[in-house]
Amino acid sequence: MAQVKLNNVVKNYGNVKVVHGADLLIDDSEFIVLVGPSGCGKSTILRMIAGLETISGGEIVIGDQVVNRVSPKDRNVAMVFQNYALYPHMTVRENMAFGLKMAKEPRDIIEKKVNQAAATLELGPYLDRKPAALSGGQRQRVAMGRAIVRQPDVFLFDEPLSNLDAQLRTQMRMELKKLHLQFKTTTIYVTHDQIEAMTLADRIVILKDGYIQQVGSPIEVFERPANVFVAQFIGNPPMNIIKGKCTRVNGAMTLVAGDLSLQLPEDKYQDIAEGKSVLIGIRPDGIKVRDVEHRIREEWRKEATVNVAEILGGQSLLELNISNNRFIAEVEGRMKLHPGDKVTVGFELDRVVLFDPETTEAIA
Amino acid sequence: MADTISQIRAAFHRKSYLFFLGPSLIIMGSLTLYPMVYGIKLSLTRYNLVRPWIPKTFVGLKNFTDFFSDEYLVKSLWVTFKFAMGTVALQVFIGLLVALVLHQILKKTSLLRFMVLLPMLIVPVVTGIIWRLILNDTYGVLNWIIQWLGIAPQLWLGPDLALITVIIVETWAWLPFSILLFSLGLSSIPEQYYEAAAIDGAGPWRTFFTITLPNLRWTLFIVLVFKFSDALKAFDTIYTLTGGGPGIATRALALYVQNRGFTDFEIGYAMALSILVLTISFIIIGPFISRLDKQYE
Ligand SMILES: Nc1ncnc2c1ncn2[C@@H]1O[C@H](COP(=O)(O)OP(=O)(O)OP(=O)(O)O)[C@@H](O)[C@H]1O
Ligand SMILES: [Mg+2]
Repeated sequence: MAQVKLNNVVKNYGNVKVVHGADLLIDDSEFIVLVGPSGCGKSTILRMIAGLETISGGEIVIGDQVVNRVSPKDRNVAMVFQNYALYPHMTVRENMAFGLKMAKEPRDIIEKKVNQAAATLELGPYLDRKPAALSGGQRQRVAMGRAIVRQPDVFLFDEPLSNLDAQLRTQMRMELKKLHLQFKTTTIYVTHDQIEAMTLADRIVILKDGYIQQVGSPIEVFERPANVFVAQFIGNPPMNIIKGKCTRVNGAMTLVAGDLSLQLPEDKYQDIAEGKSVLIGIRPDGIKVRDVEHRIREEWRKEATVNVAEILGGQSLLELNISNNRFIAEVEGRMKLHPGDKVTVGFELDRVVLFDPETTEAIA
Repeated sequence: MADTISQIRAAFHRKSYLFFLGPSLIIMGSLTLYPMVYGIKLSLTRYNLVRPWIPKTFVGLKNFTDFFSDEYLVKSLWVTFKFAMGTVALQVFIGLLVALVLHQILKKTSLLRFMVLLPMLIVPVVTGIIWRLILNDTYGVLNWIIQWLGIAPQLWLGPDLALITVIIVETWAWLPFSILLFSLGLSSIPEQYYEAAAIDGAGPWRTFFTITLPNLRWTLFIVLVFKFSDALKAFDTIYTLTGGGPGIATRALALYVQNRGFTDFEIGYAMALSILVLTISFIIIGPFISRLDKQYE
């Protein structure tokens, strides 16, 4: 087990810079998830940590060793690939034993470790099969087994669940979480599935175009996104972002957007320059439609017209017109609402996030 | 209207396999099946083209039993055996080696790969003629080069070296084929196997034997099948280089068949020899083919 440190890590392919000075400190036994849209450099960072990709600048430290020039096998990391990369002509047992064999461990130890891992992953019955004779989920488990038996300092996962169907993915996600609780190995996990990111991570690293946007716990990045990109990338449906202004109305700091005006909570954003344009960010689940009266301060209740109502089972999505602003609200239960219906909604304005329209960064 | 169309469609659908198979059935039938049957018929006759006054007579299996007393046949078989072993081994080893090197240094560039393939574009007869010029003992460039290096000139197509020379030229001419197949095989191996092996700590040899080679099994089989069957039928390169000589030093089976058929005009016996070649091909290549079916078990 070990700490992993990225100091100003850069990756170029020829003239193209794909990672721009990434700084990251990953604690021992932490579960870190890298997320971001396709092509943002997640895999590249992971592969630089694994040693499969050279580091163009900066340094990567695993434990207390700078590994820039250390070959993959000497970094004591284990990697699980998206398509598993199981050796096709070897049995499950041989696949799992291969790394240990290369490390010249004695046979009886190898045997013991493989059997242990197989038991943990419930692979016992398949040990003598070839990967071709396994289901996707089983192959996934073998790939995990191959990583576990080596007792590495760091686990690296590159979209390990993306080849599985939705149900199996949920199940394997749980198992991954359990494995991490059991082994407590430092884990770096790449995905573009934000549910995986939210459920697995101790901390999430959000990347865009090779720049780290924000590093934080799932709740932090959800509730206090560092910029508009994070606000819209994390959370589904994404955060509502509307253009507005900060002004004082009767001495109280107030957000104004078209005909909508909302008084900011007393402990937030009080020192913004009056008249400043802002982007107002409100999570869809921060707009309440049911029991508004009990939950929401009076100043934060507004009249709304339903444009569209979508029932998703446990929740419903509403597209609302609130004083000529369009909002998406995510509400519990099956609301029998129809286009044109008038409802009272309440904004959880203590959760509002304001962004600078020029920089799109969150305003402190 | 819509009905008619769907009827036509259904009718077409039921018989559509005939539509697709038809052309190849006709071609196979006229170019393969008919000549084969006719050949088998001929092989059971005595039929000499230079003595047309002797009628074509049915002799049963006599042509085949004559094999056992034909010492030239044994010699040809022996030449063919050495030729096949030599060319197949060289093409597999050198082909794989070159493909590996190309794969390492090129990855995606294809120009060099294309250049390596050039010899294959040369018609074999031309290959033979070019090499005859290169190998000529008095004015050939090869002897000139080795003399320049201080080595005595050699009789490349003389009795001692002819077979080896022929093997090398044949290998040169067809090496691109195996390089091409091995290159394709190599580029079809997912990079992640190599990455997994690198993380697992496998060195280059280990990686070659646990990843590259097993994943090339299929390619290897194909190369072996093609090269063995080519070697058994080898004709053009040898014919243009040595004509089977000197003496009969390089007279492989196909040349022997040609000699008996078109020098001695014993069509019946030549036909029987051809069938022998075919049978040997089946015996050697059959097992490979049946392995191909089973490859991913
Ligand atoms: N060998 C390469 N040569 C040039 N550019 C490359 C190479 N490999 C990756 N890139 C570029 O680097 C960028 C980051 O790639 P990377 O594979 O890390 O993306 P990713 O975040 O993992 O995306 P995905 O979610 O699609 O897997 C991409 O823009 C990609 O085009
Ligand atoms: Mg990727």
